[in-house]
Amino acid sequence: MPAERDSLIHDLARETWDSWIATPRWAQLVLVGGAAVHVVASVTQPPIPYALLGVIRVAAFVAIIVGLIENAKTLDEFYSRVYLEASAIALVLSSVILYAGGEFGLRLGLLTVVVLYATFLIGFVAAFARLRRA
Amino acid sequence: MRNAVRELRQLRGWTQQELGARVGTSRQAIIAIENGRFDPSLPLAIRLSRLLEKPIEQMFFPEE
Repeated sequence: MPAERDSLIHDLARETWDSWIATPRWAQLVLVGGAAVHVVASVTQPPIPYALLGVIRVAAFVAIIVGLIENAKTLDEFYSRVYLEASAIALVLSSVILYAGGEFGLRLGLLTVVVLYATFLIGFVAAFARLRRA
Repeated sequence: MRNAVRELRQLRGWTQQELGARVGTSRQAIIAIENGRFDPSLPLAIRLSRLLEKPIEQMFFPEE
């Protein structure tokens, strides 16, 4: 029987790539386009009214989310389970962090989104590692 | 839930990747099922049962 590599990072990278290939082309374009617009709108500070810049950033952010949702639809039931556990971990962790931040007068603003996604990422890796452990 | 998926797969000389591809799921799903960390859905269990030619009740055993 051929040998199988058993590296978590290798497997995660391979299946992330597989899910990207399985994602509909329109969703790939929406995701990449949204990310590109968001980076440009955030880094270059174009000379346009702030309200318009805000609308562009929000639209780009929504595009990224739409692309990620379409990507998630390509995943199998194992990854659906990983997403479920990661969401539960993110809900618990982020609520504690955000609540504690509020109690101590920490105004996170847009960083709230970073807290949400960072805790989801932590939850994803933790759930992935737990479910594949022997 | 314990199961005989690993033994049945190894009898056929398939890798986890090959078995996953044959039943339309990821290698991670096969790893997690074989390790008893993840119970497959009924549709996936039926596909495994048909491919590995073993009735579901002889492939999956509830923890006592």
